[in-house]
Amino acid sequence: MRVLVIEDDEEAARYVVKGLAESGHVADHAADGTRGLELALSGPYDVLVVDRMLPKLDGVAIVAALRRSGITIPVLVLSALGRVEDRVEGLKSGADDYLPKPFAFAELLARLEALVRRAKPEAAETRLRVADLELDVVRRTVRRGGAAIDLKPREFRILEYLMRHAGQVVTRTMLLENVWDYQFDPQTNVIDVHMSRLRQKIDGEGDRPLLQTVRGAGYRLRSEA
Amino acid sequence: MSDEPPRRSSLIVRFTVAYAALASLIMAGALGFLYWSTRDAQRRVVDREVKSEMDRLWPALQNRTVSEKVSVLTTWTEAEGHFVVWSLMSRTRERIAGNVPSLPAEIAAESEDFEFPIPAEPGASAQPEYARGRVVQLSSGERLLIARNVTDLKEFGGRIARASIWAFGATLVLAVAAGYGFSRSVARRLDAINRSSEAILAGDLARRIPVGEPGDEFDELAANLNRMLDRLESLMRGMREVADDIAHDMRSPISRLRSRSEVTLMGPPDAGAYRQALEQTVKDADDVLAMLNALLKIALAESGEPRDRFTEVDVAAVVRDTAEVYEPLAEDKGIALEVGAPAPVRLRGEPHLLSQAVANLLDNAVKYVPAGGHVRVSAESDGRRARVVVADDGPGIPESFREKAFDRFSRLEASRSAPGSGLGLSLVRAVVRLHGGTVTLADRSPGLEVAIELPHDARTSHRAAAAADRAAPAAADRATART
Repeated sequence: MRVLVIEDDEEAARYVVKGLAESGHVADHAADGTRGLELALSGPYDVLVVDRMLPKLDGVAIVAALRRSGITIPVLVLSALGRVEDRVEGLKSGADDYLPKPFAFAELLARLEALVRRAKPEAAETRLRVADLELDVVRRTVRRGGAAIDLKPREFRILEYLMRHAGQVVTRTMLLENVWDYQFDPQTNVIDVHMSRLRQKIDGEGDRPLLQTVRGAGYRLRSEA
Repeated sequence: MSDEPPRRSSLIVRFTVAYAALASLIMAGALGFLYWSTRDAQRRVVDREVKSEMDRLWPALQNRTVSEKVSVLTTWTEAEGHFVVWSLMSRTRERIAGNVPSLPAEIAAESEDFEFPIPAEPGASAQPEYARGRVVQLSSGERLLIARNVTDLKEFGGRIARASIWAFGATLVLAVAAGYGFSRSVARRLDAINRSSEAILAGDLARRIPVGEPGDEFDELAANLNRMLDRLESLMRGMREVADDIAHDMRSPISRLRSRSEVTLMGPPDAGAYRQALEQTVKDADDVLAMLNALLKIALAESGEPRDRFTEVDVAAVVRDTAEVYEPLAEDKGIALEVGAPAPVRLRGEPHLLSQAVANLLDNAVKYVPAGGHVRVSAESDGRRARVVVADDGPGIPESFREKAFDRFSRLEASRSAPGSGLGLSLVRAVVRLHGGTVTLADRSPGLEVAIELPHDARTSHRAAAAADRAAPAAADRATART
């Protein structure tokens, strides 16, 4: 994917651009708001990473300007102000996701990949399929290789989220936000316990394991057969 | 600062002028009314007297000759005394008899209740005299003037007027003096408050505003300001302690991080060792950041700012959802987690912070209760307050430590080895206070019971809690952490 990073902190920008390049993506960098908006309006980017506080034109204003010009490219806003109201303001201006600084690069990458994926219109599907794992959103049934799997409601929602992001890394924070609507990290890693339960149910004996743990980042549902 | 004295004296001047003006206005009104009504009453008495004399004389004068009329009138005059002013005049206004030489020309042939200067007899004293009465035309054509000498009454009126002016003057002087004295005493009280404030601003933080004996509104103001200063001082002391704690608790992971990096650099350049050290560094940094985030969240909750975002929250649902998050973990550890939150418990609050508070309590319970133990979390309402209780049969918290358990970074010696920052209960308390509630720790021997009580609407009970604090400041913050 092609990413535009609009960030005035050179050190932080270098870190993000380098990380993206090492993960096989192309990243451009703009150091101020107006330059960033120019590039965003002209360049063929899949996703934007915009710092909240920028010289000349701040992040929220850039997003608002893009949306006014009818550009729907997904935007992730970065901010040192990790508070709920800033999050709300960021999302209200038309940003698609919000990540408080400091963040782990794995978290940023996972969220960017999720955003790019979401930009493609397939989220409305009601029957999800990954390898021989099938999930019917409407009838709330899950089958693996034809055999029904009994999931608790929360497990069902975790699996649905993973399947909609099949092949991508999903971080613990993303799960907390999207499945539980939690905006904080519980001290103990409760998510891991939920995931191991889910893994026991969907990856039975003799099945090819689908749910992978990505070290230092989160989880991934393997998409290739 | 430099415009302070003129402003203060202008208060005195403004108040004195206003007070004196008001007092003078009231006095002038009262005296004017007194003067006017006295004069009016006197005139009415005179007019009535004159009329009744006239009415009495009238029949006696009918169908009499002029000399008979004169004799009747003379007799009457002698009986009435020297206040009588009378004159019998011909058609052409010439005096026939009487004690007034002639009627002033401006008075009509017949008129009632008029006042006039008595024309002086030639050679009489120059002191002007006044009379008040009426003049009628007799059927035979003569005119009869009957009046009363009112010089003494007019003099009396004049005395009242003069006395009023003196009284007014005295009032004015007294009002100015009283206004000045009163406003000066007010200004002096304010001045004392101002001087203390300036001293406090200048850095004398221990100084307080003097509170006087009478216990009036100024003393109340001074006492309130002092209480505010006490609160600020304790907050500042708290902040300093927090800053010290933070510095202390941040220093260990950061110095650990530093020495590891240093030691790694001292060793031979080896990619494997570097990687391992860096991974550990990232982990340490994450711990520090998590600690900072927790501190920020506590500070945010303590600032009261999230109150602007309060919405309707079902605490029972929060408890059920949070318990559901911890259920698998408890089960893995062999702990029975029981949930008792059957009915909705609604209140106004910040859902994310409330979730985090409940999560912190469950986190602690699941972390410290040994395998085979029990944890019960419940939410219910008695109609007035919502009550969330997390009870366990784990090791509990010793009595002596309960008071300190809510302080930042406070951890039991026995739990130092367990992961955690010692900020969990601090956040719980901050969130509970934000919602105007209380949190208490109780011994279940064995085990711990953490009870949170929250008002259904923090807006009303916050004031009540503040009032309770004022009533019993020392009672707050014992084993109970309260708002």
